[in-house]
Amino acid sequence: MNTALSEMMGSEHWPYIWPCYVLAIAVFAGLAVRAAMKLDHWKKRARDDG
Amino acid sequence: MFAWFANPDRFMRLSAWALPIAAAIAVLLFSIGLPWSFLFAPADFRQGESVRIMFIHVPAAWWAMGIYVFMGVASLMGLVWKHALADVAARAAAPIGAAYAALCLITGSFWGATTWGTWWEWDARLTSMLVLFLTYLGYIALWAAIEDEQRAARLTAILCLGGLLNIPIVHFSVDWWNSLHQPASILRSGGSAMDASMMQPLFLMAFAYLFAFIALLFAGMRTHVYRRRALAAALRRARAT
Repeated sequence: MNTALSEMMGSEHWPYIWPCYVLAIAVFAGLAVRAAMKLDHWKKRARDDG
Repeated sequence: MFAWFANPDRFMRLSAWALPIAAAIAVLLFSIGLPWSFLFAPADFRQGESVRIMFIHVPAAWWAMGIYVFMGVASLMGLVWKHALADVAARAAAPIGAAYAALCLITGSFWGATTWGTWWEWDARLTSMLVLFLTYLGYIALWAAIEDEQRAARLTAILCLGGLLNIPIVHFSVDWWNSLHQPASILRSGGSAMDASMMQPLFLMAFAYLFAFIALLFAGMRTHVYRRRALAAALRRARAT
């Protein structure tokens, strides 16, 4: 694995590869946090107001 | 069957246990798919290491289109059959589809920069995908702009159905026009041109994106159901005083 990683990090494509993976993780984490926060907010509102 | 799912109480009971299961499956698939595609999948003989971007980019493109088709079906059900949860489903799906389309465009741009030597070209595939992303944004903006939810549901459904025309354009753009983007290599007549060593992590990532969508969709739909209940309660209280 270390050899494969070293080869990839040494490749000319490396500066274009890692940002895509970081972005994908950030997008899914962002979507999950946003969904959880909004769900929690409206669940409490529905319980308190209802 | 759809009428059975149209009952919001039944949906809330069903999604209460389906949401954590879908989320757990998505996390499991991502925790296998991401290291597999990033570290263990082989480099392509022509594209080299840049092929790893494809494992993020291609599922995002597939589901950006798939989610829009889902929204189109939900919009049609809302318009024609007045399905109680159809507009909720379409509305909850839109931000997820927009995020997938943005992820597809940005990662595609990175792939283009290292492979074609350009971040952007006004190519048929790239432009039609940009139109799809803008349609998502327009749909979300229209929901936010109209206060009357029934009117908003009707108008956004019409916008969504109009936008469906773009889906075959995105898919077939590489066949219909001379395109810088490569033609379909997986979903094509004559079978896939891709080796199994790359196909397996690609499909694993595609299922991870799908289960993430299902979990996020259920969370979004539950949010809108709670929101409607809270607003209805506030309205009842305002009328009583």
